[in-house]
Amino acid sequence: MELLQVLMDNFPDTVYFKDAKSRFVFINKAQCNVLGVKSKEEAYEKTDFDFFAPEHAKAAYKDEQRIIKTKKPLVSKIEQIRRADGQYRWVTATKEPIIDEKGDVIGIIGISRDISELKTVQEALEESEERLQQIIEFAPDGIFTIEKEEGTVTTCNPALTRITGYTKDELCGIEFVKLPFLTDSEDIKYLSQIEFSITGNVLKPFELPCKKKDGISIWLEMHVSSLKRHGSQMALLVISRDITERKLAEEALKGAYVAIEQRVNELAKLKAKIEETNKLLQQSNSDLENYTYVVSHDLKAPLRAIKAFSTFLVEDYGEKLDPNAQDYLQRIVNAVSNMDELIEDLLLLSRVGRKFMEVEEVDLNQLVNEILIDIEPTIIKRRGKVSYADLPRLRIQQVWLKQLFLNLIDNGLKFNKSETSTVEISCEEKDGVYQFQVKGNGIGIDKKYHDRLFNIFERLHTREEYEGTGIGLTTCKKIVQQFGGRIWVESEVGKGSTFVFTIPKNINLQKKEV
Amino acid sequence: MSVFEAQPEYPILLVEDNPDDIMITKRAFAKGRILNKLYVVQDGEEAIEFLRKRGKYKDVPTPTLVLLDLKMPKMNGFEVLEQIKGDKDLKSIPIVVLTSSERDKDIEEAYKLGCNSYIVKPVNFENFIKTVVDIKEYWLSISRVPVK
Repeated sequence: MELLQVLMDNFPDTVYFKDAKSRFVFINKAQCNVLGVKSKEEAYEKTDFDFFAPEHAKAAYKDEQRIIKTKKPLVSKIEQIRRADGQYRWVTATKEPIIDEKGDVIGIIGISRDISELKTVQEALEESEERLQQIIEFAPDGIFTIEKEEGTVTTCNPALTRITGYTKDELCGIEFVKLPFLTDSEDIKYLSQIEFSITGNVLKPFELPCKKKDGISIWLEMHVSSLKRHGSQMALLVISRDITERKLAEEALKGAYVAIEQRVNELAKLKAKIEETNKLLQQSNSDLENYTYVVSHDLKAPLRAIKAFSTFLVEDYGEKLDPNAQDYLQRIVNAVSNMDELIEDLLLLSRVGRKFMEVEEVDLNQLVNEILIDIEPTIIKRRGKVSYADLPRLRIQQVWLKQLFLNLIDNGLKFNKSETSTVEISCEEKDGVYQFQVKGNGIGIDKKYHDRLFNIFERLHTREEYEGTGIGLTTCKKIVQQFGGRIWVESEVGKGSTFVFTIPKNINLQKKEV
Repeated sequence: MSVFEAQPEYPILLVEDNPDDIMITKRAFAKGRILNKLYVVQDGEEAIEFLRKRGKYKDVPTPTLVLLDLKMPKMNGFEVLEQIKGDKDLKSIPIVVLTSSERDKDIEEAYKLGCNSYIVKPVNFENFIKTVVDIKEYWLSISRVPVK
């Protein structure tokens, strides 16, 4: 009996005996602590009402009376008590009826275990699990798990049902490779292979084409990882992210790239075509120039003969011819002179295209002065006055620049009925170009002819009015174009003419000889 | 072949296919009072035969000056130039190219082949006379050429 007493007092759970009226008749040391008594005897004859809050005491009394009445034990009832020291504790209580030889219940024996610590841990666990559940529920990505044994889907979150359009019931319990939103593709085979073979925790994410319940195609990015317990794999966790929009954007981008590439190819083709056309055009231009050149030469031989023999006629038979015949002969000679001039001009024009080289430093003031000395007889004949000022120095083909100014000055003096024919040459610098003006006080040109003026053989007057071949301005235009500039005219009838042309400062000098 | 004004010690050979130009040249010689004997052949092959004194030309003198047209049938002026200037017996004979062509390529080619002068035929006859006289003055009076 003493041994039993020692055992009970060293027992961590509380042990107590009560009589049929729920009065303590024996308690162990642990129960003394709960009740807050120094000696066991202090508790004897007393009830729960003496130690606990009335609610608890009442509930315990009720339980005990039922046990006494029914003879049925109360097993592991979890209840909260307030200990004598004021602490609330969770306990699991087991109470058994004590029955005598006659079969009457004479009391109860109770054992209570303090499970407060356990309860706290459990609550924390429950809270954590609840939080986890909420996270999963709230996650924007579809989440599901696959059990190792059957390979079936066990849980899935609302996001997955939202993304795929299938209900939870349509997804859970299904063998994972037969999930309705998966499409028959190579990736599925891949997916079934990796199924449970992954040994690491996380598999590299992969993209999977899927189909929603309504038939719409979507793209899911699958992140698969192993769920383990005590180091052994229990299940697979699959997080599936809807990347349809990204995929569409990627495809659109790809499409755009392809389109751009196509455009670039088309452009390249177009460019090649233009280059080819340009080449042909250049060829044809140079052919034409050569043709002009050759034809002009071949025309010169018979012309020389006509001229020579006309001269012989005059020399040898002049006195024998009547005035009429002499007039005819003179007309032949004049016609030949005109034709010779024409051919010379044509040759000059064709040379602009054919021979364009030999750049040298040219002082334009000096150049214009040289021209004026060359054409002094013409200036005197036309009572002309040519002025120029502050012309720049250029690195340029002198021969052609001289021809250009000569033609324009000569035109200014020629198409002029003023008392004093004046030509003023000036130059101003504009962005990237020198802009030259050759301004004459001549007869002027009607606006409607301005465009035609630079065309070859374009003459606005008869030979009787003004001599010329109609090639001079064409040559001017060609020279300016070879320099990379532009030429135009500003003029009105009776108000003189100003020929304006530009020469780029950064002149692109093509060396060219055909 | 024909003979014009006699000055046998300085004969001139005209190589020219165009009869008009032959006539004009002859007249220019006359008007310019050039008395040198003028021989005329009408194509390049004839010119070579003449200079090498072959066949019917075995008795002709070696000319002291050749006036050479470029555009000719059978053998053109360039080929004639090439043959003459490549022949050590003939290359010392001065050759003046007298042509209608002002082509830079032609001028360059002619000089490359060794012509001594390149002159473009003027359209105006007065100028033509002047040109012919100038040629004669320069090559047969001012300039000294070897005489065989």
